[in-house]
Amino acid sequence: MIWEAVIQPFADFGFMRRALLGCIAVSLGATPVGVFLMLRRMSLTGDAMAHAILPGAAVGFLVAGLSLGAMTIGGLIAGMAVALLSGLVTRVTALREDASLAAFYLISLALGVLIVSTRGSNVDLMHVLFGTVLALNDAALILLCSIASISVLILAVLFRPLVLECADPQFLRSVSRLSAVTHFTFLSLVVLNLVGGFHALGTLMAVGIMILPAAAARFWANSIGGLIFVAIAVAFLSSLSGLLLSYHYSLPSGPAIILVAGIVYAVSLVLGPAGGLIAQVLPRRPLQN
Amino acid sequence: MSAQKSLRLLLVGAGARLIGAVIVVAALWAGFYWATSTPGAL
Repeated sequence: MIWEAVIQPFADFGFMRRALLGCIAVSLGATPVGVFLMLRRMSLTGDAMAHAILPGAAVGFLVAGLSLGAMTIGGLIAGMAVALLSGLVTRVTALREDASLAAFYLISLALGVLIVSTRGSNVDLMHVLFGTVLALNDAALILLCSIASISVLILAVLFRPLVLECADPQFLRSVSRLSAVTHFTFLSLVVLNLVGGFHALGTLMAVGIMILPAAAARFWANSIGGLIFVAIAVAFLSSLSGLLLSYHYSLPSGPAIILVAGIVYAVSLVLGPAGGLIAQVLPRRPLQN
Repeated sequence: MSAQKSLRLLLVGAGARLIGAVIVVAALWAGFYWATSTPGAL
């Protein structure tokens, strides 16, 4: 029974194994980045950046069709350009960062959809917006695993400065020259992981696997190491369950994965011991001497 | 504020974190081998 429901799809079908590995790679790379985005109160920035990569990927599509390399390079350039331009607008004008990011991402989304629609079909547009996790080839898997490997190694090296920048950026600036390097490297990691996630889950869903597990983990752990561990576990579980639901009930895989992560988030919101609804309602233990 | 302080900030505990990261990366690439080389219907 369990074999047929859980193991057999992956034992029998290569596309399911590839989809699972792609999701694991995205979970390993993007989810810890999502934890730091959440801790820096930049969750919506991730969403904005996910939309911002669309016109670049669309230009790559216009030039070379559904080419992995062209769409990746286009997405990276567009994502970095929007990150830098919105930062520049914030510094030289009266507009605040959230408004400038929102303006850029809305323009990017409209431009991206327009470019894809002029050249491609609705199927191409759906591929770009919602990804094709069940059709990942070797090249796409190598890209996803490489992005995950780079992210994990960079996060291991920059862990302390990143934690300090979340907790007290002024202190980091006062004791070290690493603040600007850390910030720029972190933004690069956000863009890189969104571009990777975009191939598997599409531009609209990529940010889901980044933010939802991080938000759910917030209700189960208090330390940053604990948050990252729980968030990756939630992302794994959501990926596995979403793929199996998609396989057994013929559901679109990307939305199924993100919806399972959403259900885990909703359950955590109610049951989570670290600030969940029930934990807030239950009387706290009195202080003991 | 000095380069030495920045370096110390980076290096404290970095060895253990890097070893953990290398293990995770190795497991991921082992997964890649499993996913792409195991025979299956499709």
